[in-house]
Amino acid sequence: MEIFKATCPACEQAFDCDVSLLAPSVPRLRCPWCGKHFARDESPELFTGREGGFLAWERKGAGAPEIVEFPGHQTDSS
Amino acid sequence: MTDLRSWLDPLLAEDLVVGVDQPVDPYAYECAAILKHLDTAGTRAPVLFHAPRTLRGSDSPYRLLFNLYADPRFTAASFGAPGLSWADLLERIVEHLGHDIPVERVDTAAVQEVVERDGEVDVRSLPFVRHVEMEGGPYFTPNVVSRGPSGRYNLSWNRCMYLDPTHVALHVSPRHLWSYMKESEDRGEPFPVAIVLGHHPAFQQSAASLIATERDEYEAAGGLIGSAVRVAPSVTFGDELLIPADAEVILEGEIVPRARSLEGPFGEYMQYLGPQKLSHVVQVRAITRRHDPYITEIFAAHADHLGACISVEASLMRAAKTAVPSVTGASCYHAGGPTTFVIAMRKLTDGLPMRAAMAVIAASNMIKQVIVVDDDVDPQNPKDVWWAVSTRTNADADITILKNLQGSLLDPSLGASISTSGFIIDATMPLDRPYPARAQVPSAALERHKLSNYVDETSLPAIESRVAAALGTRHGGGA
Repeated sequence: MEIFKATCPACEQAFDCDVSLLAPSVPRLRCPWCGKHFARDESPELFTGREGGFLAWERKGAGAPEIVEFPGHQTDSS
Repeated sequence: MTDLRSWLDPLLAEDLVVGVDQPVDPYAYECAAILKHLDTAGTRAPVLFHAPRTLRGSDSPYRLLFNLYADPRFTAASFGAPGLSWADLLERIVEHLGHDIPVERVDTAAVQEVVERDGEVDVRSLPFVRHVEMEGGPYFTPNVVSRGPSGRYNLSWNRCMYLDPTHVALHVSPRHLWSYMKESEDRGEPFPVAIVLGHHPAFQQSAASLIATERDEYEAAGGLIGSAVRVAPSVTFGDELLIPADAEVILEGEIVPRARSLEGPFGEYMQYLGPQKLSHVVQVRAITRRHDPYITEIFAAHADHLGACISVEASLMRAAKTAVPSVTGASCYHAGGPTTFVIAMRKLTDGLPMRAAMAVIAASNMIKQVIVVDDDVDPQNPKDVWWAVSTRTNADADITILKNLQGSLLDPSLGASISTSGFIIDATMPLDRPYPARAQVPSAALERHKLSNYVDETSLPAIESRVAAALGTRHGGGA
């Protein structure tokens, strides 16, 4: 796995994301600290246009999966 | 019948389990904090939380049990062999992994004493857990039962994150379950699974074992447990998916084809955070449980998590032994590491170390590095292993670099691709020339001149205490 550090615009906390989440088909990330979804930052140039290594092999066959957004657990009690 | 209680009840009766009676909020890291404090204090016994709150913050009938694997003595007991060393336990698991026992089908399942079906399901009624900082949501660490296209059953161990009242996400590495799901997904069909939140430790260990797809993993689990796994039709899928009847809690559901959700981060056995990623989505169709259920949970990224991998280690040793019968021992989590495996063997001919190492590399994408040592080296002792590497290896001849291996999704050293590289270190002595004898006190002398004839052994701890007080605590050094 290769990661990038995302920073939540709402709570300004950073967290680890797999680089496959830089794929254009992934519109938003979910902050594990505050539970809010947000659009990820612009991809670093290195990954622009790539579907991510992992997505590439997962997409063979049935095609690109649909990304479903769930609210997750919203009570932050950390 | 072998279930969790047949292992746990004797431990409770002997007062060998740490009990926490007051209500705790496992989502708010309350269990994790207590487990960490116990670990720091040197207590790794199983810990039973009698009153964990649900995700809705309410009381529940559930009890949460951690640390089934943090102390190898309890793991040995779960295989009916208390007192066995880790190395002997590996041997026992290897032996049992080879003996499948057909399932016993029953009509009444303890795990179906209470049933909530479609329309009633709300997984917030469960005491989901957070283990380490930055975890992406409430988690369980369950076993997943699925049925492959051949009709044979697969057991796996997966992290499972809450998404909403009827959905959870499953992280699935590209092994058996993943390949079955993919076939189903390619046809656009949902894939039935049973998410098992508690069973006998040997059942859980069978889920971690590396079993060939031509074998049924319920039958392999029977071999590991030592008696037939009792199975019953699931309430959702009937005979299409038989569930382990003696489990504690089961979420029956379907993996939704072509759907993915954000999942993670999660504290992984590599002891790093596995990052947020896209994972498969499970629609939960039913929750079935006992009246007074236990949920077994791994204390993620801690000793409990590594100890839970013992049957991975045993499976890999079995692969090495199958290829090279003169393999005498192995180690992963004590002397190697999450991706490094150590093999000890009697080297009968040149080339055998490489053959044994390749068998392990081929057996799982969890391993990318193998060190092979002679049978006079203790593979469970990292000092001994590195002594052998230091004194029996010429790098240009004995280290082989492996390229383009399928790696583990959880290995942070990988780049964006799933492929990686690895190495094999042949730290065995050469056969084509004499090698110096290992310096040691004669064993006959040790036998003849017992320490107790010369020194009061009971005085030694006190001497060590005085030395520590006068000179400080010993920090490494020596052999």
